[in-house]
Amino acid sequence: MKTLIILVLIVSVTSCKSLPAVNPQVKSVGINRDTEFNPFLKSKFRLIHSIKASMPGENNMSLIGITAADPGQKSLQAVLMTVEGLVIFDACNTGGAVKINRGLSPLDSMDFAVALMKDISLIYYLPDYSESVSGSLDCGFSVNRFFCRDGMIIDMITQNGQSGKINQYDRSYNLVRTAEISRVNRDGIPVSVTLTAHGVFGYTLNLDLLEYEKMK
Amino acid sequence: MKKLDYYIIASFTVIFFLLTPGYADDWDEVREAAKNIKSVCADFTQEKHMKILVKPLLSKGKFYFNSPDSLRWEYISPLRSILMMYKGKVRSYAEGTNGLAEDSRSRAQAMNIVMQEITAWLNGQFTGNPNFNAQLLKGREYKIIMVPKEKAISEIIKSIEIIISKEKGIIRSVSINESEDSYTLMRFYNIKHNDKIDDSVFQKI
Repeated sequence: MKTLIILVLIVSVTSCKSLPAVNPQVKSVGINRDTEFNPFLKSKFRLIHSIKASMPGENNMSLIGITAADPGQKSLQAVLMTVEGLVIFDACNTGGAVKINRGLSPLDSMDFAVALMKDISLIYYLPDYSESVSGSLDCGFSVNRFFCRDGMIIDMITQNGQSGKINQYDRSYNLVRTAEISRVNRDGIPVSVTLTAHGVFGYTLNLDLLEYEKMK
Repeated sequence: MKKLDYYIIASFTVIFFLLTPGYADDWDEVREAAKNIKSVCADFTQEKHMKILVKPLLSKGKFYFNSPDSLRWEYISPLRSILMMYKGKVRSYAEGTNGLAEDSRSRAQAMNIVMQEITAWLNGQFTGNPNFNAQLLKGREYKIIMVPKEKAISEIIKSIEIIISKEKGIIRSVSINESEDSYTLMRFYNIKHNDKIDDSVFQKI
């Protein structure tokens, strides 16, 4: 049994360790908003999602998520609620400082709060990058690659005009997160997102946009 | 007991009071009225009010109950979700990527506890509720205020307020208050008592 676990770990680690080539690599200044898929928020929005979570051990749950996002300040408030209306998590991220307003166990840990804020930022905020390049992947899709200040690498892949994918790699080039976005609406808000956290203890979140409004 | 369990118990305490026909000048009349309930079905709307929301988040659903131990609590929008209890057996379903999928974990466990509570209420035993103190106030309208006894519950729910119209004892509203800025307001419609409800309602999705 121990041998099997070790083998699984080895396969998991080695299979994720790959940063696809971008050809040709042309230095860019971010995303061409006119021609490329761009799910990142440009204004302050309040978003309400249905969230279907698939967790390890076949644990599934359905929740409602409320996000107040300010891309200019890169600040966030995120609320998770059960269908019955119980708020099980409420936290803010202001200038990188995360504060938990309410958290019911096991969602009361700072680790969870920080991870959730990072996941939301990955989907909705342009990365904080020092350098970016653009080109095409071997499969033919165009890509913008962001080299982030925290050492992570984010690929923003355009699959067609309204759909795309965000891949996040860690410093060792392991694929750690994928956000697949099926389409964006007329205000540029992703309508349907599947976020996958890779690895042995990975999880999948399916987010469907229920309501949204621009905030003042 | 997990914190979600407390919230579900609170919700069903509210539901019981909501669906009891008529109102009472004291608990004895409520107790007496409860004995005559054989079945209940109703539509409901649920408004979630929070500071982060400009307008309340609206949910809709249906509720069915057959005495003594069959219950269906179904959300239709914005997320489909069903809690079912049939002759003591509890099942929970939530909408997944491929439609409704059974959730066999904490919600079903919580419902076992809720069932014990409901059974006690149907026998008229709710002033001795181990989880809540209930107070009946009389004024222009009747108001039932329920306050958690234990700190563990009060950290999740501050209070529950039920407003009852003096005319024919119609329940006007129920508010589950989590904090100053967050509460859930339920309203029930088309309430029917003692209609025949087929057992299949409590068995099939």
